[in-house]
Amino acid sequence: MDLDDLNLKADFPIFQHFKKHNLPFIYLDSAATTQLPGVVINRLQQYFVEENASTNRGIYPLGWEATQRYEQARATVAKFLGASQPKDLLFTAGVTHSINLVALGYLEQKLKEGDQVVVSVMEHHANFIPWQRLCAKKGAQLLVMDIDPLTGVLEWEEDKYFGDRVQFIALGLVSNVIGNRQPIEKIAIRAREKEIPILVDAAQSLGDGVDLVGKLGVDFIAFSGHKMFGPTGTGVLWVSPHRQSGFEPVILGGGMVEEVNIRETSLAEWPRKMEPGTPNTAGALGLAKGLEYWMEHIGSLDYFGHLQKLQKEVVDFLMELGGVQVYTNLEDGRGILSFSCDWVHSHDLATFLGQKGICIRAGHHCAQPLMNRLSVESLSRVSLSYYNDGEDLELFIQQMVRAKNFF
Amino acid sequence: MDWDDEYLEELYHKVIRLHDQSPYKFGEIKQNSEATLVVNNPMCGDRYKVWVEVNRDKIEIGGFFGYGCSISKAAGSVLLRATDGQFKEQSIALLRLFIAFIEEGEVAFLSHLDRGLAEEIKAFGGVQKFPARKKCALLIASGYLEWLIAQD
Repeated sequence: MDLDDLNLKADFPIFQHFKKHNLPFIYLDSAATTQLPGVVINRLQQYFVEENASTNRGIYPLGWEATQRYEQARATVAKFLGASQPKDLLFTAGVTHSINLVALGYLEQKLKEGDQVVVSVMEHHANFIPWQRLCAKKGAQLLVMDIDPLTGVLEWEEDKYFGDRVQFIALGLVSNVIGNRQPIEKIAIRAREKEIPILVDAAQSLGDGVDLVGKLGVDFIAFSGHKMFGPTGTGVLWVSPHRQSGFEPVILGGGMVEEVNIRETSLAEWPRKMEPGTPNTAGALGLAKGLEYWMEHIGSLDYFGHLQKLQKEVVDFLMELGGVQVYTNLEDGRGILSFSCDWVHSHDLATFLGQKGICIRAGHHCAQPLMNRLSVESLSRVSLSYYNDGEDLELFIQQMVRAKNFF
Repeated sequence: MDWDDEYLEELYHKVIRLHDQSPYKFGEIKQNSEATLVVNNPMCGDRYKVWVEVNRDKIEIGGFFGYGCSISKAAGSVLLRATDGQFKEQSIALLRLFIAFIEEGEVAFLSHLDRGLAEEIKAFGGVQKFPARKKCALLIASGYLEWLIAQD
């Protein structure tokens, strides 16, 4: 069975909605947020209609069952990531929240003046600003790894990134602009030799996510539910067991304590001490259901082959269209590509295509250091997911030709 | 023509296209001189520098330069041309009219303007159907107005 034959769109109600109203809807912005399969929407509805109760608190059956379901969701995510223990996973509000937790709860305790933290120039702001600010606060140095601007591949092999002063490395697995997968496994081997903790921003890594813990050999993995068929406001931080000691909660409140008295507070065990307040139970269930959907329907197919085939079709077309500079990597692509046109600004193009029901992203993509590195101010981006098909691309191509005539 | 093409034709009015292609004093900057004001749209990265002076209450536009979409560039071009050589208070009033027109679609007071200028400003009316693009039209106007008000 090939993904092209599956008609995955039938599983995603938003596509059915636009079809029913005879409106065009070509969604090419999945790197920003993926659409939700019906099973996820149903799971959220089922929770609020039949199961809603406060997790980790209720003694009554509904409360106890909510806690059970929440922990089952943690186990599902652990299965997806190949984590040996569900308790090593924290539910968060998204990858931004996850990375900030590591910066403030883990590294801030350890970082000293003169130390170094390594990031790369291609990072999303969520994996750049927290480290930049922490370094400024501590008098540490932010080392910014360069990329090959033609391929987007990290130039990571220099010794300075693994020097004695380096206390932490934070890198994205897949660029949200260029879309290529980075050789994190190799970087992690070097980092482990020097016992440098390494975090991976796996926001754009739905297909790469399976068994990621075992594959990468890193210390922290962060991702968001809403880029993986789940709801917004959900995310995960996986923390290697040997990095959990000394990782302190950043936000304090209910549900995370053993005992509180007027003199002091003793915290609960990991992971509860890291998840203060009433958890987003519905979100966790939705996130887990999105991953289950992926594992059941897509995980056994040639999913990267599908994305790369569509990606190549778009790139070939853009190169032929003329006046277009494309930023992507076809060899190791994940369905994400950016481009600039010398005949139109990216916002004007996105407005034009938006009027035709075609959703692309325009701007700096929360990756301004990369924009500066590529010497561009703004790019248009097409980001594909498993539900996109050849028909989507036909309409995109048709309207791009019209756009060129229009402008 | 589709309904959506009508909206697009309205948004990319010929006035906007002309100013985008040939913006007023674009790039005419004094070498090595610091810009008077810098405007920036953090949503998209559009950024312009404007060189402007007020002498004896009259405005002298040195030029503007930067990167942005056709709407932001055209709006800057129309407003900088319209205020070049004009009195400060008159220009503040014009910028306020422009902002009210973009934000609220307010047209009543545009009749007080020179007819040609009123027509140029009305050319930006297409953004009413594209609320996400209002910021583009307002990018230079907002920063310029703030700067003018701050001048003694």
